[in-house]
Amino acid sequence: MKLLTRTVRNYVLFSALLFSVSTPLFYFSIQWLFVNKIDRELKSHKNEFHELLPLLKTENDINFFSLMNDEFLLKESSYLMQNDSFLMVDIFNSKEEEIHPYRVLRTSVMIQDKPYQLQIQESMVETGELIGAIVAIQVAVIALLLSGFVLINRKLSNTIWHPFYIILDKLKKYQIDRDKSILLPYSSTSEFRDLSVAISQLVNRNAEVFQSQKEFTENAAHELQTPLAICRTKLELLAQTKDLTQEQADLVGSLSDAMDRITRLNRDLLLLFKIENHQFFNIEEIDLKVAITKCLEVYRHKVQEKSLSVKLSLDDASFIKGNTVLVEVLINNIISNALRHSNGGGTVTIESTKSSLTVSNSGDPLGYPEKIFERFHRESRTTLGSGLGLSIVRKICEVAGYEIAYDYFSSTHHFKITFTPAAF
Amino acid sequence: MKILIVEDEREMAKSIVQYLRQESYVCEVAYTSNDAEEKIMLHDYDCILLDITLPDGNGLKILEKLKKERKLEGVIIISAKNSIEDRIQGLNLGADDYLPKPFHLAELGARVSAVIRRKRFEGNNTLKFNEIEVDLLGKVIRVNGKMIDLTRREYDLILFLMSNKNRVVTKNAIAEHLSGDDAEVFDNFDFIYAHMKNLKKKLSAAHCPDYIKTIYALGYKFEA
Repeated sequence: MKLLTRTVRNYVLFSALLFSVSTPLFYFSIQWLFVNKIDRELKSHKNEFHELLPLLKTENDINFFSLMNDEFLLKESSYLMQNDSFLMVDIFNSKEEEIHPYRVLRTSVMIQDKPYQLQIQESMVETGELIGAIVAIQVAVIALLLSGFVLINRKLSNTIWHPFYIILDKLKKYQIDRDKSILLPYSSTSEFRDLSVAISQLVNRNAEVFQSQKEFTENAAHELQTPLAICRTKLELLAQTKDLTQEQADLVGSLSDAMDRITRLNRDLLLLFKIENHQFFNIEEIDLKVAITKCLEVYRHKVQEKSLSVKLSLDDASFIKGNTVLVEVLINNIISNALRHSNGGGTVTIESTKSSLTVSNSGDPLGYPEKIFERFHRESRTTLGSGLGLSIVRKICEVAGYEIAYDYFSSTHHFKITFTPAAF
Repeated sequence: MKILIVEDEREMAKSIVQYLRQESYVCEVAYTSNDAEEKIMLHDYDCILLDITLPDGNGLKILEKLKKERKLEGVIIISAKNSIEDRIQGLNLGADDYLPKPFHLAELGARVSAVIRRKRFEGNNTLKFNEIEVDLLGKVIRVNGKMIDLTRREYDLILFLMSNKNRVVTKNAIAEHLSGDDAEVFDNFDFIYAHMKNLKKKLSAAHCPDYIKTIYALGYKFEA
């Protein structure tokens, strides 16, 4: 749920509750006030009547008075009421031919020593209308307030929250290995300003750490080169020593194997760093068919030795844009991977179209296909690979904007690289 | 045969000298580019191994100087940089070969002997050892004048061993040499054993003495 929806929902709920509680409350309290006021008026009418009382001397006077004053009703009564009583009565109004609500005060008076019941009445029609009008206005005001609130909030979210969404967008796009720093918009809202500053600081700190970590590994790999080279040569010299026993020869042999692996590993790591640092930036048009054929020539003997059958289906006019070195490494790694991992006598299929390259090789399914491009992930430890070949492939695709996908079906591993035209 | 080794890493230089000396080459070492320039002016070398990342200047400058002095033949660049640009630049300036570090000494030995052969025989390029004769241009081998039908791999193998005569060549160096500069080595070493077996069979069928000695777990040695 969006922040705006969440706040507005709460406000609307509260307003609705308030509205439904306050409207009857308001209605009844106003009505009570009016009734109170009418009652006071009725009382004052009664007092006025009492002032008039000495003037009513005969039956005729009384009748005449009743006739003159609509709101006063005098009736002979057999008894004398002790207390005044206020009532709501519906009375038929002969003039408007409607039943109207009336407020009535009943009391007893003694006229010429005879008990009379006096009824003073006041129409409530106007009062009711007034209350209705007041309540309607109040409802309208509350409704306007609410809709205004929603509208203002929506507008505010577009303007006030605008920097927030920009920040969010920038954060989503930020990549620590590609972007050195992050440029966030200036906001007049202090909270967002603080957020921007905090994020920038965090990003800068992380970028620094990342950079120094990267430099460290890179320098370490570079520094390893020379001692590795020395080690390798010294081992070869050790192999030359006179009267080497078989035991010693075994040891030197194992050391040479390990040395080879370290050397390959280091070489691949350095290549990976170079790609990450975008040190291959010359973009040229590359003939995919030529590049593939050239690579296969390198592995011609290997194909024979493993008695593999290589099926080719290459597009004659497939030109891709990329760095020559990187594309060569890419093709070399993807093809050598297929050759390396197919069993003797297996089939490797290389297919190229205008914008894609698919390399497939027969083989058993992988234990962890999702880890196939991960550094140092190897399904078996028996091969002499550095465990970086496919990581390099992925890195090159990432840098060049190609897409790579792995799939396994019909007992065959498939690697498909799509060379998007908007590469680099 | 005089060889100059321009290499700032002393242990590295020492190893190279020690390895090449067994082939009765005379080796001199220069640790700095000034030292190297001085030696180049004073002497003629059959082969110069040039590290192009030197502490007191880029080795490519020495190369330019050699070009000016017309003493270019026989320069092999050895570099830890192994960048394509470096390689192209070096070869464009007239170096004979480019060997990225870390390399196997056997590989270096083979390259040095190739450079020297090219320089000395000027086209008429054969390598002879007793009854074996290697025609480097035709890429064929004759034993007692009779041609032996070898595969390309077997030919590469025997040439590599003969270029490192009397020295143990590790299977690792052989694997890398056979795979070539750009290829990944991705098998175990079984394929070398297979090729070696065939090679030995063909040689003995041609009544060639068994010069190739197997050192188990380590490699082979072409023993004179």
